[in-house]
Amino acid sequence: MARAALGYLPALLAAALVVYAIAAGGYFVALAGFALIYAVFVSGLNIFMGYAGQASFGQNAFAAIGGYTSAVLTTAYDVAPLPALAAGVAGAIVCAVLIGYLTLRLKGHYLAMATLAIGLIVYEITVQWQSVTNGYAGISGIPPLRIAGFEAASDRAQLVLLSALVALCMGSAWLIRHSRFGRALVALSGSEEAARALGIDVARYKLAAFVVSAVYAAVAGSLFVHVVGFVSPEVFGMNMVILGFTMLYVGGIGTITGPLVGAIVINLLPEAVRGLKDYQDLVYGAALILILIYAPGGLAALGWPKRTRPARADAAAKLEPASVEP
Amino acid sequence: MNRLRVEKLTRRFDGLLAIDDVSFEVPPEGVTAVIGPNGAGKTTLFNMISGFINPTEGRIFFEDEELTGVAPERIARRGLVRTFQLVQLFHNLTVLENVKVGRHVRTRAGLLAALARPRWARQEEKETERRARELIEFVGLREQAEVRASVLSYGRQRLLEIARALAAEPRLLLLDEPAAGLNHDETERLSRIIRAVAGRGTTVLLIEHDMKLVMNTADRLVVLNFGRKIAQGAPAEVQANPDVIEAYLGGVEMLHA
Repeated sequence: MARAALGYLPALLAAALVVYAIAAGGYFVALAGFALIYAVFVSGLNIFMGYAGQASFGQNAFAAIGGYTSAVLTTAYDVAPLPALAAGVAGAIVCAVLIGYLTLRLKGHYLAMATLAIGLIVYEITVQWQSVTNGYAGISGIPPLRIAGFEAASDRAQLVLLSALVALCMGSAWLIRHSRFGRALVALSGSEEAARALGIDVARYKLAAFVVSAVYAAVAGSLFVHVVGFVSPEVFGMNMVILGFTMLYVGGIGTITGPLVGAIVINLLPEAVRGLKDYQDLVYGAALILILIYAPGGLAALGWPKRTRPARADAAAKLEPASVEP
Repeated sequence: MNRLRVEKLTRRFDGLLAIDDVSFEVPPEGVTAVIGPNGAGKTTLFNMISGFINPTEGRIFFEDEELTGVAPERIARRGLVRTFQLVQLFHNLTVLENVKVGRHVRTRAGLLAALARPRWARQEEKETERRARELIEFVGLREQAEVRASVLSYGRQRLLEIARALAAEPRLLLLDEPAAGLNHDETERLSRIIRAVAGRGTTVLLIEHDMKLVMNTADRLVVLNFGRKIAQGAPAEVQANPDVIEAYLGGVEMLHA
């Protein structure tokens, strides 16, 4: 019973935050909005890293593709926000297939380095391709989301819309995890050899997981620019990857609700320690370390019986170069 | 028609001859065992049959269709499934989920079916669940169905690996030293399970080091030593073969142990 109740906790926490933010308004709305957008981004990262056990340090590239496509299409070509988002997702899919095809034969550290390079390359493009991206100055005046006549013009309306989208993304993650497709991903993270011996086309499944995670990242990137109304290269820089990783591990890698929990905690924690002034970074860091020590499977896995809890070390272990058949 | 036919198979690793001109056939009925001292080339032979490494020379046929150079995942789809000497479980999945993954080649739901859940996919999942539970029951792991695979004892992990392989409904099951690391009781239980699998019509080819398991379980033996086939036949014949006695008792075993 206690365990079942704990399972609903992340959703309740998120709902409480959103309701509070709507009531309180102001800065809290922005904070809740960022948490929800990051929950989408990290859910995608979780499918590639948590389920399939692969490392990608370049997910910000796909967020940038989604974000900039939305920004450019809506401001320069008068495209409506939703089709612009769809175009960004399509662009991210095409890029993920090409990049994945070339890089996914690499394993462990090598894959991490290759994906890191992709993130840096896309960042450079957003800086250098002035005629389209306007360089460091960025693009402003991006319209808010509008879905089927419901324009999320006010901050609070946007929050409602984001909540619905997060629910959709988490639901999809659950459906994926509890299917033949999702099981195959978790299987290959455990043993690629055994997965192949059972007929799983490992290369194809890794690519599929990479593309799905890119779709989540592109949606998050696009949502971000429509909510904030502005985009610049820094928005999708390396700090996005670092934040995403922190959220994934703090929330619970490989779990369904972990990304949401992580996104909320990592967004709120700096606010909670802000009053400490000079010590705020120190306390923030200490809090992160304590969470990782005392909730090794992530906050979302707290209270699970040990024998069913996902092993946190497994994903990290995958960063080691895989042993080669003698 | 033979289930498996290996013709003049040779595998060289940097000058070392791991398998040297080995030929044999596996009929569809019963249990065939490949035995030999450590370093005889048994696992190399299995890795070639299951497609994980390519032979230097020679050919492999599964039900008269050539397997040489075919990728492991394609070989599995044709109905030849293997287990590993060092158990390779999917440690982040439950026992039940591990066996469900074994159904992969018998099912087809992809990403879109996972998201849209059409009727056929729900039916397929139901059938997967039913079959997986049957197999867990068969190997005696019902109590552990919802437990994460990595917390099982070693003996149970071996049984789970076999259940998972059986979920693919292979026509030929390759077991790589299934008794390694098992105690006496577990080995006996394993022997009964292997006989039951063969009794259901699945051809079993196993590599084994444990002579007791082999003598109790196998219908025919192929003996390797230093990469070469030195004998084959029924267990009693092989046991009386002077070359085999030499290989096992003539100090070779001590050298390689």
